[in-house]
Amino acid sequence: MRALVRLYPRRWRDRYESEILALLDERPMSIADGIDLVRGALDAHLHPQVPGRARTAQPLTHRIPGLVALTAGLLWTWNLAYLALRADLAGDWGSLAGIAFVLMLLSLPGDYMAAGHGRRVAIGLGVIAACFVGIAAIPALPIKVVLAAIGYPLIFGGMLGLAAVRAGIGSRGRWRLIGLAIALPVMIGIPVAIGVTATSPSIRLLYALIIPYGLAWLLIGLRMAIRGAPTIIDPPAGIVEPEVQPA
Amino acid sequence: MIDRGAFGRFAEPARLVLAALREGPSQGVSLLDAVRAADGPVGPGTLYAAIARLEQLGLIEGRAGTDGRTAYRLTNHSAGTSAAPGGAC
Repeated sequence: MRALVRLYPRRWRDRYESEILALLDERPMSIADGIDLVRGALDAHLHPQVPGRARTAQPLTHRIPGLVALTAGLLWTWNLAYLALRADLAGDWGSLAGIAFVLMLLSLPGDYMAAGHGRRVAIGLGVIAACFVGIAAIPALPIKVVLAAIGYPLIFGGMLGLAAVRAGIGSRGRWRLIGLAIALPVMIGIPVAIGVTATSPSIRLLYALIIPYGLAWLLIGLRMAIRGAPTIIDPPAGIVEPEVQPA
Repeated sequence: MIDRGAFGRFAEPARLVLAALREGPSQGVSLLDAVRAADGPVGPGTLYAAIARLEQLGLIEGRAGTDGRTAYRLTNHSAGTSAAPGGAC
């Protein structure tokens, strides 16, 4: 039950978390109370009501990156689930997942990249991508091995990390997300991938292992859409509404 | 008056919180008990959504007590707010 409080926005938790945790300790809570907490968390995201702070209204354009990321997550998840379940494996890899990948990239550029930390992360990701392309261009190396061993964790993990920054997910949450969506599937997938051929039934397991990546983008996209994520062309700060005057 | 537009489905819990605070400052647990006694099974999410709105509007304020826990009280702004049954909204 206490974990549900973490669903609330950070500003809300800064103000009320200790109180509500004390309340949960002192009064037995039912399943209905848990559902009520989830509804309250959703309300707190949609209608921030933290006293003493100006409410920030996000322009519609700030929702677009989140909706793009959400769409990418949906496409990725659907495509990989389809590939993992369907009988005929030939030829469809990369169709919708490729579009999803492009959408993921498009959702990343934001005003945070103009700041020091974000710029360093973006440059670092570009350097890694360039190294990956360079290594993959060496004819003697099998491209699939390079893609699986280097490209997926670094490129896809880096993108997920950037998107998590953009969604305002804290450092600990980012690493958990990357661990669950990237590191764990790769650790399971490497033994499966050794000796795998395009016609092996094990390829379905590899596809299934990549599904959490799409789910992570779904989560991040939803959060970005709710919180708003300024783009490069938008002003970095939202429109500040005046405080509501007491009745 | 509590504006239903600002409170939505939290108007009734908010009214009951105001009514409870007319008896004196209360902590969250006491407020939950009071609202539940008057309005049935209200959850902690609903209670704090109402409290947050009341604080945002300046109708109540929370102050940390000597035990470190926050007690809520009415503000001067809430003096004209009706908390009588049927009088809100």
